[in-house]
Amino acid sequence: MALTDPIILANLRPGLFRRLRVNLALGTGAALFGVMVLSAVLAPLLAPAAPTTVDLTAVRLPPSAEHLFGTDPVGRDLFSRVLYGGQVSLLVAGAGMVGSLLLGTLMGMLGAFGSFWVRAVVDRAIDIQLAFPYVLLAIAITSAVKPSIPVLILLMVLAAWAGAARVVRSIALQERGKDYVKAADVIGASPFRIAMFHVFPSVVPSLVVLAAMQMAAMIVFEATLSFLGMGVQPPTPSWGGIMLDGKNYITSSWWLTALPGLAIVLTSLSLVLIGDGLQTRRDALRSREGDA
Amino acid sequence: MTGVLEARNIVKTFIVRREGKPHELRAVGDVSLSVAPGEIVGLVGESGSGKTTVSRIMIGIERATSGTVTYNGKPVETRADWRALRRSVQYVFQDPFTALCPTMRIGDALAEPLIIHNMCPRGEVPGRVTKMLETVGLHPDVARRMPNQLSGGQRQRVNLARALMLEPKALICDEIVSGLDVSIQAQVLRLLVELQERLGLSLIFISHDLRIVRYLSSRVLVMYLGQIVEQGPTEAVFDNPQHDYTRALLAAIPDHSRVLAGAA
Repeated sequence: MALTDPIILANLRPGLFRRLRVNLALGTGAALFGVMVLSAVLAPLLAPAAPTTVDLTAVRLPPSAEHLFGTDPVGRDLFSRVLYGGQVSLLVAGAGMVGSLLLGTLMGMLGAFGSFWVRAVVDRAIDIQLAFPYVLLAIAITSAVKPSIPVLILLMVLAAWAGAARVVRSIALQERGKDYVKAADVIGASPFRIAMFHVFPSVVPSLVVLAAMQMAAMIVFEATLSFLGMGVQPPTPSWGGIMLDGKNYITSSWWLTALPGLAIVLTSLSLVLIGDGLQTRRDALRSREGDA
Repeated sequence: MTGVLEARNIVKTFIVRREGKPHELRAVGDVSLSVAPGEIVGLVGESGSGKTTVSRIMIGIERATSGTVTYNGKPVETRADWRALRRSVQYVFQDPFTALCPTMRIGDALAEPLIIHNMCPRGEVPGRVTKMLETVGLHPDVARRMPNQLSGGQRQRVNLARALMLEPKALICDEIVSGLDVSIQAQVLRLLVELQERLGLSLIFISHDLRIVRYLSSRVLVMYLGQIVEQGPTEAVFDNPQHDYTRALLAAIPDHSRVLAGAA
């Protein structure tokens, strides 16, 4: 058969294109995220100065060869601060993501497999949480207790668990209605066993996608709270906190806010790309499995 | 004749809302059904006649609105009763593609009933799984496969094997071959009959295919609109149907002469 046979091309092209696109999104995202993580981890090697060294003779210098990202209002090297800030921001966001997924998965499974009352309580809790503005929650909590990194992580978990719980619950409910769950019940499996060994593995691919998306949201959330002064406290650098320092000079010294902002945008973009790529791959795998 | 597994006066109603007003929908009305040791009972009827509902009530997947299920003459009522019942009565689902957990290897799915009920020491589990796979005519390597790597016929053999892991006394088979190709149907049915004879199983076989029911069962019950309209020994019901619906069913078989030839 000729190579240009239209039927063959029609069959081949979408699959090939789809694969390339997925790999492109996943690859770009992973590479970008890798660079961000690596530069944060290697901050002590890469940074030209300590993130807290003040030099009042070099205040608000624009980006140059000597100060790659310029200097801030008290003469600290901005590039060093963004690198070290990445450590804090990524760590806090990562901890918040893991925590919210753990709590969300637990609540989601309870919402699908619990007794009538447990399900009702979980349902209402999710609704209340989703309706509650998280910034308001943050203000309430940080005005009651002194803001610190553990409090910030707790806040992020509280703000984000409900989204994860909803996803987990809806998948688990869908699976619960299928025959294989009834079959497991008939052979004597306990509800806990069914939830853990039969239904949970079907939730995992979506959890992986959610992890990337949640991490992106957490990066932005941490930056928002720190920018509002409710997150990481000075002098510890974090991306949102660095932007807060530069806020008053936004018209005269653009680099103080734009460059840490760029770090936030690139990191969350890389995570969204990863999540998107993983999602397409999950759907492709699912359709290959051929289960309805 | 007293049955191993018996359903007495089973009624199942669903409440449906039509234009805001609740209506009572009677899916099963006063059905009694029993199966004796080593007997094969056929339950026939069209889609929606309530066959599956009755069978699911008999294993406790659904609860009857009224009526009782008894096992060895004792009524099954509490949770513990149902748990005990399921040690001796098992169920094979209609759709081979949804009845197996998509994320679990075949070997693990077959081992699960043994582990849950502590049927044997852990060390013996793989051996029992292999033996059961051979019993249902599958290669032991199948244990390492995932369900989506198997055909419908292979999956249904696995489902049958899983139900048999607990060494049940009675088995309920809900349309277990209707999702399979005709050539595969014959293989699975032959296997079922062979196992039934070897293990002395009581079997409730549900089907809308009269040819299969005639081939398998010694006694047959005909369901129509949630009621049993006719029952008796297979030969009697098929040769001399009393109810109009049974006659209509028999007349609807594409090739009547082939049925008679197949039964001989």
